[in-house]
Amino acid sequence: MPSCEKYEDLLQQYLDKALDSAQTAVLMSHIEVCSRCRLDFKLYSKIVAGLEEMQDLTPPGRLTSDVMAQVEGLPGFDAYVQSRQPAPWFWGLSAAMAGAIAVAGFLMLRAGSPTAVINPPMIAQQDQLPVLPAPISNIDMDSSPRAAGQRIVLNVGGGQVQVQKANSTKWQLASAPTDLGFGDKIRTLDGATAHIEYTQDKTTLKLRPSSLVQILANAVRVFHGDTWIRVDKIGSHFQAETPNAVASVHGTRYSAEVHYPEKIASFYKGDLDENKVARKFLDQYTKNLSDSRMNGLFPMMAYPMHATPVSLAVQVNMLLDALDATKTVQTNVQVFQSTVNVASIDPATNREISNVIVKEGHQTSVKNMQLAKLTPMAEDDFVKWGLPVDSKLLARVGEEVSKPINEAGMTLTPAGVRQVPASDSTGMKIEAEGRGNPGYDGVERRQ
Amino acid sequence: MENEDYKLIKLCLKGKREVFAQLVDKYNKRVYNMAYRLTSNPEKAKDIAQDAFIKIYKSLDRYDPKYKFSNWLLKTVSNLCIDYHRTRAQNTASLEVILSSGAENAILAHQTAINTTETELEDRLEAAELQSVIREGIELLPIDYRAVVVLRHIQNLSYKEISQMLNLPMGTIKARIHRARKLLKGYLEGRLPKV
Repeated sequence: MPSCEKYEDLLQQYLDKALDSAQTAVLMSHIEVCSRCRLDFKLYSKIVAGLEEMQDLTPPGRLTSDVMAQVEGLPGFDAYVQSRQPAPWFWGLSAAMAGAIAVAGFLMLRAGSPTAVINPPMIAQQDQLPVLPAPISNIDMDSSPRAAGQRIVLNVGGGQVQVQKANSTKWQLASAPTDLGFGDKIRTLDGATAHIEYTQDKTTLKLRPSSLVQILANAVRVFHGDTWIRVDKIGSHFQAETPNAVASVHGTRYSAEVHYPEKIASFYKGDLDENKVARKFLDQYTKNLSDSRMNGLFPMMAYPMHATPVSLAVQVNMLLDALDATKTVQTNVQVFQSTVNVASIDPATNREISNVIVKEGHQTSVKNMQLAKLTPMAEDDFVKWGLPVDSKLLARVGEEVSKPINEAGMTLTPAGVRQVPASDSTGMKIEAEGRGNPGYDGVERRQ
Repeated sequence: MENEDYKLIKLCLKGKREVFAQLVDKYNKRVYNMAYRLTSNPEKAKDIAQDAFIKIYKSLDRYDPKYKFSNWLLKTVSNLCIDYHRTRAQNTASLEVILSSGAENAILAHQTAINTTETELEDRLEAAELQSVIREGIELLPIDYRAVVVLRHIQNLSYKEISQMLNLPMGTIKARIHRARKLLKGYLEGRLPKV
């Protein structure tokens, strides 16, 4: 009964004790004449009463003594002040969630069966570092963060973190806080972590060990590894690009979706382009606003949309199949706060294949890509990084393989349900950019 | 008294560690219950309660007296429980997943109304062990929803307090609680005994 929808919202407010007497009277007179709402009313009342009457349990008697025994063994407060990140209230829940993300960034070389995981040799000394390909040519080198009115600062969390400036091919060790420019690449070696902040708007990136990213003005390219991103951009756009996906944060466009959880659910089905979704959503939103009785039910109105921070983790894994000389890239995007639009990109055509909106607490995997071919550059990368290269693999370099593994290619799952392996980090050091990966040719893929 | 808490914290910061025991004694019941409702595991709840107190102790110098100390503790417990759920090896399907597998549409479309009269429902509610069904329902809620329901309905915090605590807009908190109640209702409807 569609006309009952508004009473469902009133009922929710009633349960929140947020209705005034006039609104309560409206609800009650509907309940008198509508048996379904009357049943709902009873069920909800039972649930709320049941929750509020839940009895407190007594904690184990030794809790205080156990805590104090630990407290006695702790160093003085000075020891903690030195070694931690700022502002616990600011980071809030997201930081804790981010802490739960499993490490990733691995290369698997499957030579028949069984599947073998290869640990490439770790680079121990700077002078042994191989020279990576020249930077992508069509990044706008003329602009700089300072010209754009901000700084991008790299802080090393621990271990070896290296920077390749946009105009150089040399990797340099980063130690003290380092200013980054657009086009700079950062990689964390095994066991190393880094923290990158766009100082103007507090957009923050955290890199797990064995990650490689490139910094752009309003984007980060994640070549491999595991990157956690928090965006507080004000009315702006930020996206994470991987070899086969783009996760875009449109704070102004999608933040309100949080408030329509059940309505959004239907948007997940089918291929919807971003504008269609946005339009559908805005239609719904406008419709709700036009109904004066529903005003106040959507308190997002009280919040400037851009004030909703977004946090997500982007994880890129690569799978190299020695049998047919193809490389598969898997991107996982987990959303911890707000919503993120994730598009899967076909590297062969550089076109968007499908598009989903991932709401907070959920993740999506894009793993439909087998790259069209393993290019000479990719082959070079293998050799430079000292990876064993199968002769069969080399012999077949350049062959076209166009069959996607999975037509749909995208799955949406609640983030809490799926376990990401925690020990797959092998310190892979493969570049996925350049000619072998049209996804990184700098062409704007989205309108 | 929150001011009292701040006095105790300042004493701790001056080196009187033993004073922290008073804060633990005062809040251990709330902290343990929060952890228990979010983990459904007494042993884990105890571990998380203990970890929360230690974590708070290490950060005491950053306590902001603008906020209630108890809320800081509950926030810490909530974060630890969320971490626990996210890293658990075998995750059970959440209520949201169960309901979205097809049952949700039936429930949310109120199909039960077609077959249930009011008197029948009352009889079935009478016969049900409501508390245990609600407890089961909570355990099946996705952790983000579970946390806000426990904070709102069991810990009796206001939307504003939960919003500050979780650093999320109040609208998000409300939407989650409304959604969680709807999921619980669906679960309850499905679990009512036939009479």
